[in-house]
Amino acid sequence: MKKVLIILICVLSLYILFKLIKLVLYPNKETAIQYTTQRKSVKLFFVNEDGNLNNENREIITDKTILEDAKICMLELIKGPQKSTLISAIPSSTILRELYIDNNKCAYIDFNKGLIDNHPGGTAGELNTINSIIKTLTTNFEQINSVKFLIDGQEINTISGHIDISEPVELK
Amino acid sequence: METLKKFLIIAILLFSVNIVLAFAEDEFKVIIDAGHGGKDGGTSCLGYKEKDITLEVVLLLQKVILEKEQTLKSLLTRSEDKFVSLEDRIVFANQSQGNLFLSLHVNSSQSKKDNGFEIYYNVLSSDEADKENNKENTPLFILWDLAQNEFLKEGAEFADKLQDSIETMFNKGEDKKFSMRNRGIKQSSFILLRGIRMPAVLVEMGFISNVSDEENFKQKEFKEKYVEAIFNAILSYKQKKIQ
Repeated sequence: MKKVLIILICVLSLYILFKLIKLVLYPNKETAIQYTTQRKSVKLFFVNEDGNLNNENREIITDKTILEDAKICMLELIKGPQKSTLISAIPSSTILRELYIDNNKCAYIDFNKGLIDNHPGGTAGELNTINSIIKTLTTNFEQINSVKFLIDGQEINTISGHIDISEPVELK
Repeated sequence: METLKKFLIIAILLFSVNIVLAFAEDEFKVIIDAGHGGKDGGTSCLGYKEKDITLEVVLLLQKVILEKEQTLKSLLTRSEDKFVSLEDRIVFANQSQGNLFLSLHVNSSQSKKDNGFEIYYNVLSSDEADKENNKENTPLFILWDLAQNEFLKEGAEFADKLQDSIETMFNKGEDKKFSMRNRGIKQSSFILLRGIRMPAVLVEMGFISNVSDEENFKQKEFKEKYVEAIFNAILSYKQKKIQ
């Protein structure tokens, strides 16, 4: 009986010691996550059955910065809609490579070639793609008012041969 | 006698040159652009490609112009299935010094219900307006970007003629076999149109992603009617310009 008690005390002591070491080595990690992580509702824009853009509300877990939140928002947009009545304007093979925001409230979005290689084309389809991205970012983040599109880190003139995106684009 | 003969020859020559010049002045050049081509198929549906539809319509339009109106000269940015870059299309149009530029396309949307025709001319962005105010200090390549700004009003006039003509052809009168939704005249920033130094318009003739529009495109009669509507609009615009 005494032996069992000693083993139990040893295990408990080891556990407490382990927790104390973890707290000394990583003092802020847990508290930082608890402090900043919270849920936020964002509006994602998809194409409805009539060909217009409609928003779908989605809850995201916000991160430390607006930049990270904007990236999460774009990743959710690429995932596509949850409502069956809405259609994604972004080809499913698209990957977000990077996103950053400059001092002029312009978001630079770098996608892989999936965005242009698998785009269905047509002026209407192209405008839907461009506008769904811009509207999603500018509606949810007042720190963004224009978008500059990049493919594999390079500037491009157009997605499928119609609309000029060589310069940052704003919603008119 | 010899002097009189010389004088008569010179007079006849001058008269002939005058006639040729008068005829040349009356010539109205239309640059017709079949969207996409070659490795760039444009949009498609089950192997039916935009580049083939636009080329077929453009070749039909050229044939009608040749047959019906001698004062119209049509120049094509491509007359076969080959890739022509947007920059080369702009250079060709500007070097040809056309009176009008018309680019024909087939539309597509993520929504299968989206249908009908729409007509575009370029938009004057605020950035470009700023650049225009500082033309003297603007590098040449930026001025090239501004080329279309001077022709937006005329582009809008031609877009208006096209809309009326296509609407009349398909939606008015007794025969509504190919009735199409009129999505109107719109302005957007087109990479192709912005460098064109003449009134320029882009027509999205219908949606290949829509079953009804796609069926229409497969019928020669539909394309012939489209060509007739476009031809009438070009004539109407030309007559207004030479008045």
